[in-house]
Amino acid sequence: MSRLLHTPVLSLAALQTSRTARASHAGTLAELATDAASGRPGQRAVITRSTSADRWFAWSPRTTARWWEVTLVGAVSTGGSTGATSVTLSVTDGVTTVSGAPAIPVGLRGDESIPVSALTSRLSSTTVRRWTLDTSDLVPTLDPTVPWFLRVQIATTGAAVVESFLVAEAPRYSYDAGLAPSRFLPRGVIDTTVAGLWSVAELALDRAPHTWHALAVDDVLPWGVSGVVDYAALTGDSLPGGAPIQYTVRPRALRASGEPVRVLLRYRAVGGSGAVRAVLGSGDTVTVPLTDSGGAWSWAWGDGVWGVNPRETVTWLGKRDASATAQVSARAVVSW
Amino acid sequence: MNRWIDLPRSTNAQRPLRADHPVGAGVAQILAANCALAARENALRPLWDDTGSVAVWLDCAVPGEPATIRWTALDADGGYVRCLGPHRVRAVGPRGWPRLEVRFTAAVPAGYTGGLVLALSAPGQVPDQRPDSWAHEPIASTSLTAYDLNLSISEGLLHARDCVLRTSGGAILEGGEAIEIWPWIAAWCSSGSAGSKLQIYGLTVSLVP
Repeated sequence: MSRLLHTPVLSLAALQTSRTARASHAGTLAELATDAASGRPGQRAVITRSTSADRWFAWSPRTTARWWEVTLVGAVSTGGSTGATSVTLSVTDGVTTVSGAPAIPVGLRGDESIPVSALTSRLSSTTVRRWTLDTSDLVPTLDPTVPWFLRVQIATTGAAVVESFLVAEAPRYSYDAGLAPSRFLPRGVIDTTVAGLWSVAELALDRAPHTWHALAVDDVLPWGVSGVVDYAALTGDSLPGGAPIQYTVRPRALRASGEPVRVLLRYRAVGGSGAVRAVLGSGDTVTVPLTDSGGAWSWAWGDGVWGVNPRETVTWLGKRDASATAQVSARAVVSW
Repeated sequence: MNRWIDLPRSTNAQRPLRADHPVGAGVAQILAANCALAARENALRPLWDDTGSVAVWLDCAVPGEPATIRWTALDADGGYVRCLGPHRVRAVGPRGWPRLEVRFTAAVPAGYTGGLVLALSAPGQVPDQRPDSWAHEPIASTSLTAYDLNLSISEGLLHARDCVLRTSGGAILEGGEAIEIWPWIAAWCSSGSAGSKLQIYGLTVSLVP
């Protein structure tokens, strides 16, 4: 049963002591809890303005979202020209990788050449392609208790340009948790369905992850960890003068103690080890050790919490052994 | 309410709404308040991050006039234009739609001016910059300065489409209406010369209350 994506307004006065309890109250609470838990998912992976990319993004599988919506906006570099683009999407939990049917739809397996063209100016007729991906096809294969990593490979021919490529969670249009309005009809039996209201409300707190920060570059163009004695900004992520670039985030204003997050890094280190610090504004400083990976790309992470200011920032600092080479090609802060 | 009110978790034996226990008005009110707050907060999120560009020197089509910014510019032209793709939005409580906010740090070369434009477009199209569909933040400081740029989202800037969610086998399980915005950003600099470049760093675009 599909539901309309709307947020009912429920006056707290209607729920006062000595007021008559009505079936509609529970039904409205069920609608509100369902919408809060699964109607507003917040994870995304975005690549903008690219003719070639091979990038990785971190993802939390601890989510109420079942579907991903994938959108490609293609264009050309000059009006009157043509070209084509192809995209390959794969997902891994660090052990197993899913890159084919049935989970990955046709067109996202590098199996389709998507034509783009424009008669007049280069953006006069962009190509918009959309796919949906059912993550229930991923769960049997991938471990849903550990972070997942999305790899996006974009290739173009001719004058093609990918203006944007976006993977985002879709909201649920269903009452998965059994809180359908038909369970709360006037003169109906009050059964254990009511108990489900509280656990669904908790999903809105715990299983509605947001991608708070996500940047990725190709492995061949990584950020460098240059600090040796002290932590220093990553090369390619600093302001003139050497201070790290600051990125602003508005965390959810829900918990008095700050939002718990996981800081994830795709890195490689050889000849020694290192560490990267994510300074989460007035919240935690999360230090992620970069152990010697022998030069192979690997993932590492650490956990912390945001501060509770209306706006927080994240900055990135790194340090390595003098003998080591350490690089980072993707970094993310996601709810955890 | 502006904070989640903790009650015993649903796995706790003393949880609210457990079988054979009356549902008190207090529990119902806390449940309603928590869900209303979570619905609002979960609708607000970051949409895009970027390290920025140190090579913005292209002026607007009418010099210094951001209403004529060149949306088709490439980085190689001295432009900095990004289509952020379609992003779903949901209303934020009874007060309406969220705002779009861009935060960034920038500096302009001495003797010149610049700015950043945030605009909403029709799906897959370049922004037409009709009234109320875009906002501009002038960049006038020659030293690195933090800026923020805001754009209110009104009904006329939203785009609805049908959303059908299928299994990989093709069965339609869910679906409904999706409400989206198509944000773009672009920076400009009055120098018009690669010898004098605007620098812009650490851009974040978010849905905020």
